[in-house]
Amino acid sequence: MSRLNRLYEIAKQENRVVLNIFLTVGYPDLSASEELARIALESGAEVIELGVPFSDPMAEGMTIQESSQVAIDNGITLDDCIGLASRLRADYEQAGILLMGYVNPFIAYGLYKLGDRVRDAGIDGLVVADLPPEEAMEFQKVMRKSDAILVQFLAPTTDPNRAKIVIESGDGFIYCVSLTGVTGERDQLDPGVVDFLKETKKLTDRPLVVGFGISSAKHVISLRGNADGVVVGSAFVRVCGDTDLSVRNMQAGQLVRDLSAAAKGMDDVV
Amino acid sequence: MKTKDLKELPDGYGNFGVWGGMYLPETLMPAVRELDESYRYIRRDPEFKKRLGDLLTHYAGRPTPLYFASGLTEHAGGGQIYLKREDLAHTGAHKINAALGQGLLAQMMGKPRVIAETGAGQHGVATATVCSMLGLECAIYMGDLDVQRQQLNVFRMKVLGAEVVPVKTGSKTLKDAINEAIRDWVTNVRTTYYLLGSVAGPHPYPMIVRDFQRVIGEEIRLQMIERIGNLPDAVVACVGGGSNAIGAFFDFIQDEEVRLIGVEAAGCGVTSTRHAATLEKGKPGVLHGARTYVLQDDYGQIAEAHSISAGLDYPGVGPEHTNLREMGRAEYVSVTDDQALEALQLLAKTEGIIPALESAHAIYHAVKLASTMSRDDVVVANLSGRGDKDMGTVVKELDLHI
Repeated sequence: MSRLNRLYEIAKQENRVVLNIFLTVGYPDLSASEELARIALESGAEVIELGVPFSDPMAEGMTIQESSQVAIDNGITLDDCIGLASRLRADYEQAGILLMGYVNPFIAYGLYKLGDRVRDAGIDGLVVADLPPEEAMEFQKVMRKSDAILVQFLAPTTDPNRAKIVIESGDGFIYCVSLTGVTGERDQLDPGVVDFLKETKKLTDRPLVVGFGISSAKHVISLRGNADGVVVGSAFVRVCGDTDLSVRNMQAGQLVRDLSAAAKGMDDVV
Repeated sequence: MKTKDLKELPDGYGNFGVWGGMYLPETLMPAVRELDESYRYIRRDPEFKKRLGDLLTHYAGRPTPLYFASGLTEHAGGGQIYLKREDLAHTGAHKINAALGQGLLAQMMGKPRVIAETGAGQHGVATATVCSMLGLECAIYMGDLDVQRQQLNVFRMKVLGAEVVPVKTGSKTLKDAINEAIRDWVTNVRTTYYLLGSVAGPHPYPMIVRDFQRVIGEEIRLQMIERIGNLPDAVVACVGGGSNAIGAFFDFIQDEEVRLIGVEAAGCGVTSTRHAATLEKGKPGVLHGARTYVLQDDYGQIAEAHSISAGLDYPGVGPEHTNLREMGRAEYVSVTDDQALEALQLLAKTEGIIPALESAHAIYHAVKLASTMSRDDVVVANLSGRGDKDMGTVVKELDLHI
């Protein structure tokens, strides 16, 4: 069983939600990203999504757009992201490590080279925001050969017939987009998200991981029982940007601990 | 691949050979699949065809004239130059063709709200015009830099009742306007029709926009046969995303004796970093949902394009153009900012026509080509839009004092 599947299996048995934390690699700089990723993993994140910066991220809200631009200005490349993954892997054998990005930087790098590096670095999978199943064959093939997954998305706009096709064309967890919109913090969860997860659950046994707009422990609590995992991105990236390093690190740790407590069902903290 | 087969593209997944496709977030995939299905159905609907035909004739003013430019021909001193006068279409550019087609499509699909991106503002004006006429809500995304250099068109859109949203991210030009329009679309996809203005972007847009622009080439063919009893030797058009060019080219794809020449913007020169010559200097990549040539760095970050003309200032190009070039059916050259300015003045002085800076790129190359041809040869330049919107830029560049 793959590392990610095992992770979701155990979480299910223990009746908790797996916490995924997203950060933009290179924001505010590369060594900060490493420090913040380690803080997240030490504070209860079980999966870390390393955001590969892209100049034109069409699915991102302002927070991740701006962090990506800073990272690009810092000269961050895909090799930097893979290097970070590899260093994290050396110290966190059990953690899920994913690369998240957009098609163009991956194909500019070369898919076969990417497959080799993903295997060498111990990366568990690739999340590509602008790669629907219709265009995913080559990526899929390369990731399978590297014992990694190409994560698939379902959105609130995906109808059941299409959902079946998406589900049958891949493996590993499914990334459920909680809302029709771009990434970014929200006060409220989309009211339709629980029904969306319940309907999707009827179609598949694969773990369902919810992302987009998940910003607080309160959101995580209301997803318990319906989601196998949650992704928190913009809320964490915002904290990463604090210019006072000790405040930044403290806030990052606190945010992840709160989210993790909610994910584990320790509701008294909220 | 035979040239006949090139006219059958794209396939069901939006591929022109290995180019095109639909690289989009899942949230939008059901929308583009629905649009593809609805379009394939609606385009055969007699009612739709009749309404569009009537509007093209009585509202947009089609067919547009094909004008023999005797002064320009004399200046070139070689082949005959004809101008396809898309600048005389309602709103002043070819963009009205696809805006009318897609506006009707949006209405028949029951979408009450329309969004669009615009570079030079011509597509924005055309979209605002059609929305006003059809009673649709309209928001136009426009790069902040373009808002400044195409002010006249911003005013026109506002008078027409559209909301103009300046985009202040990235290079603040067309590329960023498209990003922001896509983000709006992801958010409001259930109620909103994205009325894309070029043959770039994800399938089915390169097909839909081309089909609505084909009328340009169909008219050129008929008008040429009527005027000279023959097809032209070459058709020349400017290429940003490439909608006016594909419209002018498409009907001639099978006629291999007709040279099809696309003119990209060389900006400050293709050896500089400030240009928009995507086919000449780009590499294969994925931008805005399509696999095509893209101006980018070694790491796959999209480069900032540059052209004096906002409408050509785009680091991608329509996938069908990439395929036509790869198949050897169309040729692509580039013309600099200075050459475009020169052509704008030349056309103004020889013919009394002020072209858009975009179209001036095509005029420059048409003159250059004609000067190498014999008197019996005929080149058609697509005069895709008029130059009123560019007067601010031109006055500044030429240091004119009034």
